[in-house]
Amino acid sequence: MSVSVAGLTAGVRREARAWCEGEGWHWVFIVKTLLAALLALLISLRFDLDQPRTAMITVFVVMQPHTGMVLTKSLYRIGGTLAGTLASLLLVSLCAQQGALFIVGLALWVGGCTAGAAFYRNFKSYGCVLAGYTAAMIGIPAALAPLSFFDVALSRLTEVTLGILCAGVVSDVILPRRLSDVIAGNVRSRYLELFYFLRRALAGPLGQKELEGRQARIVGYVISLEAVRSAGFLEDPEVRSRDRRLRRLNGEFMAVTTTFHSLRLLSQRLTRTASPVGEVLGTLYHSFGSTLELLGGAPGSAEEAYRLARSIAAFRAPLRRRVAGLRRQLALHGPEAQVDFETSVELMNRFVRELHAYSRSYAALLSREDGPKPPDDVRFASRTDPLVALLTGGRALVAILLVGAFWIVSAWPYGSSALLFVAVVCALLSMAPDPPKAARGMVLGFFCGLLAALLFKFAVLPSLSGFALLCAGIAPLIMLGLYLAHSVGWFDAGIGFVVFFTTMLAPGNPMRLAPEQMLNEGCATVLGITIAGLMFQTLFPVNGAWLGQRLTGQMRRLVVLACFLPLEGLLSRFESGTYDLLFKLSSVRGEGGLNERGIFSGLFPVIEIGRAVLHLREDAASPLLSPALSDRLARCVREVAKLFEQPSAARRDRSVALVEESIEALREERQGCAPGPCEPWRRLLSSLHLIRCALLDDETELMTTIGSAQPMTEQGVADAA
Amino acid sequence: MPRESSIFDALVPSLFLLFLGCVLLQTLVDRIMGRLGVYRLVWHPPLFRLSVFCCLFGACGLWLLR
Repeated sequence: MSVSVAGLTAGVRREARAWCEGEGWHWVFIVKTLLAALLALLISLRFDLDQPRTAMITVFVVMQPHTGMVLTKSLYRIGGTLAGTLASLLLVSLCAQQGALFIVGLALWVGGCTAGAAFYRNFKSYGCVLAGYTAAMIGIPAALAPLSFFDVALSRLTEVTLGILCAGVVSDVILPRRLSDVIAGNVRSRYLELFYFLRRALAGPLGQKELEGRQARIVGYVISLEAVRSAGFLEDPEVRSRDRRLRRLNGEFMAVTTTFHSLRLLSQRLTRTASPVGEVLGTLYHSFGSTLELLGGAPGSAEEAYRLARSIAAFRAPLRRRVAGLRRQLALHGPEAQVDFETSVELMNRFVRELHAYSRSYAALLSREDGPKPPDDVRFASRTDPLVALLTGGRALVAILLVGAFWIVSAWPYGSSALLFVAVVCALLSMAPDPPKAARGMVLGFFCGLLAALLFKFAVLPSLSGFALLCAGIAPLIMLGLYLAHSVGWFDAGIGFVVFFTTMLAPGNPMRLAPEQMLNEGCATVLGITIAGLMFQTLFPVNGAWLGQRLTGQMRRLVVLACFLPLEGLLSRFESGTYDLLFKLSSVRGEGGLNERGIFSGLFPVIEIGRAVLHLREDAASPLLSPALSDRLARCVREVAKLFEQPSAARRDRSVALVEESIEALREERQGCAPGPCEPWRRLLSSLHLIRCALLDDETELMTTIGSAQPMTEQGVADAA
Repeated sequence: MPRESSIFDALVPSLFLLFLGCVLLQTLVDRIMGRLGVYRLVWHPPLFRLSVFCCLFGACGLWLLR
């Protein structure tokens, strides 16, 4: 009996721990948000502020699961708030008498801020959101009563600032989820993910779907580490001291996964064409797989991680022996097979080297020792498409103009509240990855929030007295909204519900209970939001297909840049740029043709070409090569750049021809030369060969753009390999 | 020290200006303590930070209003 009880408690404990790891944090966040909002409410009631609801709404707008240092992060937000206040001061003082002018000015400001929020990331983005939001919050009521502008502005500013401070203090002091823990978790789980992925892929072929899923997760890890790292930079002195190492780790991680993909693709091509090299590569592949298998599970400590890194390094010696044997064996199969073989060996070597470097960095990070700092040469290049940001801003502008025009033309008494919430929603939507969908959710949330507020205010509230009872009454409803906001796909509905419920409830001292006014205001607001939502749905619909095309165009542009820019630090910038784009592409859910075929298999050859070009440029500068050959390689690079600038079938054929000629020339020159160090030759050969394979691959995005994409035929496969 | 100071003829509570000053001071102190590794010895760094700020602001406020 006692055994089963012990087993039961162990099981319960295990379940509890699993819950705490996942769902538990959501609830912590929900309770923290609720606490911050109630604290803001208490303080604003205590100090007799005009509208306690503004402070509460601000808490909901700014609260985030991982918060950093209270003051630093809040300073950006307060800065944004001040900028918004100044903008509204300017607007009201310039054009309070001219409603139309005022609305145009406000629309321009909010549109600009929305575009800024979509364009920047992290801190600057928050600042922009708050600047737009505050300008609307202050400007619209003030424009109706310009004489009391200063009082209104001051109390709104106080309330917004109070909300920001409450959110910051509560999230930082009560059960903080420190960014350094998040970073450690990310680093650890991606290490496990990578090794699991490698084992699976080395053991046998993966299904298309699983491959895409794993790839998306790997890209997600890279991007989230970058985001958390840049946010943690301000939070934690410890993060700051480990910053270079983290950046390096991220870079190495990307390099390993890219090389592994090249290797996998190459072996796939070779197996499909039943080339003898395919078989040989398969055996190499499996021997490495079994080495990894022998190494077993996750390293728990720094020593274990170091041991793992050492055993990966130790694999190089048997690899070299086997390669030497296989090379003799393959010498009979002609030059084409040799090129394939040398390329595979080069890739395999590179892969083992990079995996070793990555595991070493991981071990160094675990051991937390203050070793020599790695050089500061890894930069993460992420760029937002300015056009997308401008479109987001433009939609906000048009939405505000339309609602404002309707307000003026129809002399609608509640137009101001509609306009106010259109501006607030635009600011909230600017950071959403998919604004049209977010707008739909928001409208639903606002509508439910209105109903809940009506019921609560006139059925429940009259029987409550005192602050404690008020808190107890609104807590369940707010928690419901926050819980919704934390469930996948319901974020906007949840946030809309909480914001609007609080707005309509308008807790104050004394409470004003005016049902007809509340109904009017609520309906006006829901109408305004619906118009804004319709705008976001219909106006310049940035849908999946369009965005996908735009992003793949940017990917091609990255390759062109890789052909021209100075080489210093370019590899890491190219790689991080491509991962950033891949991440954005994988978050685009649409009817884009890309998603059907798989983002990664479609775009990977493009990345492969870019990387190979970079390696080619590095090696082409080698003094071992004759000037004629160097020139020829430079011409190759230029031709590839032209192809990626304006893809066309003719250009592609020309590039392929040039690459093939260079391979020939390279082979001749090597044969004429004394047997010496063959490393640069092998590297050049494999870069050229990879470029050729990727150019000939008919499945890629590039070929779709050219329009010569044909269904994959056996002939096409044979050509590609 | 007056309770309110005038900035461009707008009356601002002196305590508010002091608050801003303390925020600046706090960031400075925070940098120094981070560099010295003080936070590694502390159980709950954010709480510690907040308390340091309260102490700073409280001390300066008392000194201002004495």
